Amino acid sequence: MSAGGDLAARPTAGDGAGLTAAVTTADLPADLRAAARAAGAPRQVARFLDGMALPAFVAGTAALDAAGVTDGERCGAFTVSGWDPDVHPPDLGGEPTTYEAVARHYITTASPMTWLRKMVNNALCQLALVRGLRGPNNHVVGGPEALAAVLTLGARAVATGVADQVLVVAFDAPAGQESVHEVDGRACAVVLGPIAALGATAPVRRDAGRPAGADGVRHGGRAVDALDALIDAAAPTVAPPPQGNL
Amino acid sequence: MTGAAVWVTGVGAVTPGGWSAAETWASVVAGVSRGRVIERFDLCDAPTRAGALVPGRERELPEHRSLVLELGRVAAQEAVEHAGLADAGLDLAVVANHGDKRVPAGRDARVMRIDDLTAAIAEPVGARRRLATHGACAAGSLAVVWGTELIRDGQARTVLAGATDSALNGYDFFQFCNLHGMSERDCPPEEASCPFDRRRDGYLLGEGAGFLVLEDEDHARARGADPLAVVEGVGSSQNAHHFVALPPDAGGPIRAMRAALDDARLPAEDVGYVNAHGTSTPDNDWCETRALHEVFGTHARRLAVSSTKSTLGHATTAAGAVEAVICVEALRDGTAPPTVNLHEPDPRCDLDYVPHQPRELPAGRVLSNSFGFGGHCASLVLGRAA
Repeated sequence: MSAGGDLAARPTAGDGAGLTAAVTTADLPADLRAAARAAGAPRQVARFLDGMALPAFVAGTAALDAAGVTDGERCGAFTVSGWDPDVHPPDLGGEPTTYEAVARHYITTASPMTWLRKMVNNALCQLALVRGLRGPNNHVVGGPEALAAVLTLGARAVATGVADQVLVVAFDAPAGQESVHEVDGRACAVVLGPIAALGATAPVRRDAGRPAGADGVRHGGRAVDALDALIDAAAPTVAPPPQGNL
Repeated sequence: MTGAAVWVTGVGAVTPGGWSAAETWASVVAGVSRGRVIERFDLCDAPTRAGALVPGRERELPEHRSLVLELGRVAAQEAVEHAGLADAGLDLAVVANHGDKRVPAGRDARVMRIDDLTAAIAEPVGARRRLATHGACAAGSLAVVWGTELIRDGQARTVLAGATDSALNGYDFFQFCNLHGMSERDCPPEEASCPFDRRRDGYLLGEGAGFLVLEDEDHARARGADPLAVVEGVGSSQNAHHFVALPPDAGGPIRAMRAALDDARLPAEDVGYVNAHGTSTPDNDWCETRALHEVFGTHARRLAVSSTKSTLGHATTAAGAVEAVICVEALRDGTAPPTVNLHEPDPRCDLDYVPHQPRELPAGRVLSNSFGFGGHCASLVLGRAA
């Protein structure tokens, strides 16, 4: 949510859920394609994993593995990103991208995959497909405040029994490239689970995800940085990704 | 957490039926399809010629302004004024949209970004915070889900929740042609959308905006506001099957409806009317019918089920929010809107779809379904104001 007046503190459902696993941006391997294959992405999913969806997919599957989530039937998935790509002229093989040429391209020859994978909910869809995540789900466009809302709603879903776990993935393009159509991004992920059942720690606070301390500028105002910071703060008590799985 | 109910205290809509919730409601009850030949942009050789466009904007898009923003602002303002909160503002606006784009042919390829569009709608109505969400064709309903949950969690007392969208431009439209999801039948444009009919072959692309003001019951009572309806249950789920296709077992829609009913703590028999997603695609309509049978059992045959996309077309991101507004109006008016163009029912779609004419709304709650690309499914259970 955008910056605004603070709400008065009151108990929230978030007090009943916590982080059970986390994967930071630094945890991701250099070869994300190989990691995605190892994580079970079939070819039809791999085609959809562009520079933004790929790190989100790897981070999300790794977090689920770290949390021991093998059955996604009651696992929710929320993604948050400030990435919102510009419209990009299709490649017409040297032909000028006139109105008529672009229209004809989409009517007759384009593969839907080329533009579907630029929908900002693409990463969420591919994660759900591969891991069978069938719980509550949604994508939010924004930064740390959007992340805070996502963590609040994810924690609530767990605390009220709507979901057994909720995967939250933050992914972003490099600063200043939020509108770039083809760009390599970064991602991190957490899994929220019930404190009582799993011994999860680091309860998710309502303001979780906001830049810590006064040096918020250091985090660049992006959701991925805010989630990285949250994970760092909870590091001693949250399950890291299994070694060798990334 | 607050234990108070979530009331709907204001509604607003702009659709091919008109520039207000009242005009939209009158249009769907009248059962007149708003399908027409698209004249707003050059269709080139597109196999689809029909769309449902808002009145007064049929022939052209504003050159350097966003129609999506205009629709959203008008609908949002109506909802907030209807709620009596124009001066007080709101705690939060949850606005689903997919931005506003144009043809990338040497001109401005982007009119507005998703979050900028959300901000431009939230700010004039005095929303102190905002959330820009994207859940494709389930997004409007998901905005209501999230607004409701944030009120229940004590994060806000007043929420503007809804969506705005138009894919009837010379870019998004051709991408939809690429999917062959729109009707390509050779028929009058007003007959293109025929949900649950065996001749159906795709949706009538529409546009619009819909917003609800959701309010904590205690807060509403304290300021003397009356409810238009009550949000009794919300549910969402993921198909986890395919980016655009529904799963053959109807799993996602089943889970969403059950989640909403569980959230409302209601048995299925307490629902009298369902506003279906009802896109008029071959897959959705039979899949949704199957889901209704699974969720409601023998009660399914007593339900009144209608698709208002048969008159207004499919407003994509905004559809769920527009249809939530329609459900509120149905409760207030005591009327179930019809499904039009249902002349040759598909044997696999065997429920009562309120064909052709509106009728008295059955007793009980109303349920609204929305399913979207990316596998999102959302259901809302709304009840009458006491």
